[in-house]
Amino acid sequence: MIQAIINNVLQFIEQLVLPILNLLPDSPFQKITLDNMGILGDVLSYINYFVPVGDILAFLTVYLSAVGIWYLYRWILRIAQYID
Amino acid sequence: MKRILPITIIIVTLIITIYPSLTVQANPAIKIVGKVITREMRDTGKSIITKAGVRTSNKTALERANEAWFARLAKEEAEAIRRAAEKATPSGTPGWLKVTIGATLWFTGVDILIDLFSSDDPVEYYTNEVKPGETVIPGGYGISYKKVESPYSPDRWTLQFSTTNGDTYYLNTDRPISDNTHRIIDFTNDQELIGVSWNYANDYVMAHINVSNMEFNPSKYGFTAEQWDTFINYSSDWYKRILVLRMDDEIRYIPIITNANSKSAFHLFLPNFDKGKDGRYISAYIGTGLTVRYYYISEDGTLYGPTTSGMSIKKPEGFINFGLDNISLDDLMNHTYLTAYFGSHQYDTNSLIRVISDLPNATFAPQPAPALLPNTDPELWPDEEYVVEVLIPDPNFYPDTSSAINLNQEFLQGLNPTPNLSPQPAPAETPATSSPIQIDDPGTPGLKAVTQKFPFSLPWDIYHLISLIAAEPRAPVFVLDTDFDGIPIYFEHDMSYLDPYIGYFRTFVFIAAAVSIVYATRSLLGGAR
Repeated sequence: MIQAIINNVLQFIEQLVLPILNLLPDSPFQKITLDNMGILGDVLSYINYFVPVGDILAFLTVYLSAVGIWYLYRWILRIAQYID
Repeated sequence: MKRILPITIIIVTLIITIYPSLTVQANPAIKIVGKVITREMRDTGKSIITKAGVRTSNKTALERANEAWFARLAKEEAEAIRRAAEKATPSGTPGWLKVTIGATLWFTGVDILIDLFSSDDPVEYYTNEVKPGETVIPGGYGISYKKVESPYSPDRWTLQFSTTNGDTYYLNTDRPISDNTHRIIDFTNDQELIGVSWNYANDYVMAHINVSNMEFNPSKYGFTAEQWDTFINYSSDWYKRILVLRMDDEIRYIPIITNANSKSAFHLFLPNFDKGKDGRYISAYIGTGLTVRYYYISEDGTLYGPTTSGMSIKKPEGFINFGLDNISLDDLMNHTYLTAYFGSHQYDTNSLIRVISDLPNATFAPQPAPALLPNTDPELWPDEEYVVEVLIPDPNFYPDTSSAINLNQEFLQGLNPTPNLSPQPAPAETPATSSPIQIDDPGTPGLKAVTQKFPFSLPWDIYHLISLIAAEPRAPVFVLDTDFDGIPIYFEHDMSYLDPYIGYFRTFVFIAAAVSIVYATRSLLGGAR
């Protein structure tokens, strides 16, 4: 019951906001693909042949999440004044 | 420093929303990292307190309590890290102890010795049907076989059977074919060799084996004991255990029957019902005494029988057709007067003989390799120095092109098939350089507006641009096709020959990148000042 009410409210808000959002322009970055990049697309494929960029990016993702958690932890401890 | 923190938080938030699976996988690593970082923080705090030692010389109770807490924390956290490291090992990894022991065994060669001593004795399989205390089979358990040269006949071979208690038996037959000294087991006749038996080693009579009236060549034929069977001669009321041998490369199947005449052999198989290999033959123990009849059920369930000729029945037509059709073997077996059958003759129109395989513990002479014959075809173009593409019709072979075309209509029809008057357009090729990572269709219009409309789509755009860098790897192809002052220059080099090895190179690069990031962590987290 409450869920239905909340859904209806969200839909109402969505119907109010959506026309305004649709006035905004499309993102130009999503039209960029490797096909459009010409020779650069081939060069990126060749680079990936020697350097596993995809795997390194995935590793960086995990690493950055760990670093982020560390920063968060340090921030909390600073608030709690356990450390300077 | 002030700008790094919010930017890092934003990036991590974005990444966590997009790569939930990676963060889940990172949970064990994050736990360990979190605990190690806690220890680092504790050490840093302690160093700060130590540096401010003058200030803390008059420590308050709170400061002493903090120091004690940090001191305990070190030991507790060390224990927690150790426990976390143990728990962090995923359950799917192999046992490290097992791996260590296995590697040690492999290096020292002990595993080979273990395999040698734990290998299954191939003979034990064949003795499974021999019951304890059975006196039917000479030697009982532990029988091994090998081909030996007949000591009584040069260039003749026989089979020698040895038992674990040291007895030795040789294959023999009491059905002489040539003379009384050489008993030949003839595979050519389409008859059952019920006269073949085992004799003790001190028997001067030795059998040798002929195949198709040719000398038995041990390098060509090998024997193996396939199974133990029971031959029942109900007319004479005796039973024999037979050893079914198989010989390789030939459709030969010879039951070698022992010379045991114990009627107690019935007890061997009474409680154990055996339908035989193809499930078609049954033996019926009818009435009192030891009269046995044989029945045969064909594939369509027709029952034939009974017959008194035992296992020497060659074809179903030899049986009396009972007129019982579509009878199942199980139904027939439920009769109390029926007994189990131990026979596995496979009757075919040719003979009683079947495939045989190698003799265990036997060594064969190696088969000669086929000789490489020289190519006797004449050189077609003896004056040519390099290969050229021959177009058909070639005037060297078809000087009269018109007649060649007339004669080879079918061939040319294959070259010039009937044109397709309404060809379908070829499907557009998917380019190999397209980005392998596609952003999923958002679905709802609200989400679509957020992820694809300019200001709000920036995080997804950053992700998309970064994903473009992770392109599908392709082997480089360097092509130079140019013209230098009228002289055409063409150079092409395809590096796809590296495909089998480039994986290793990529792995090393990945490891180097990971180690670099680990070393860079210290400066990134502010420790290298």
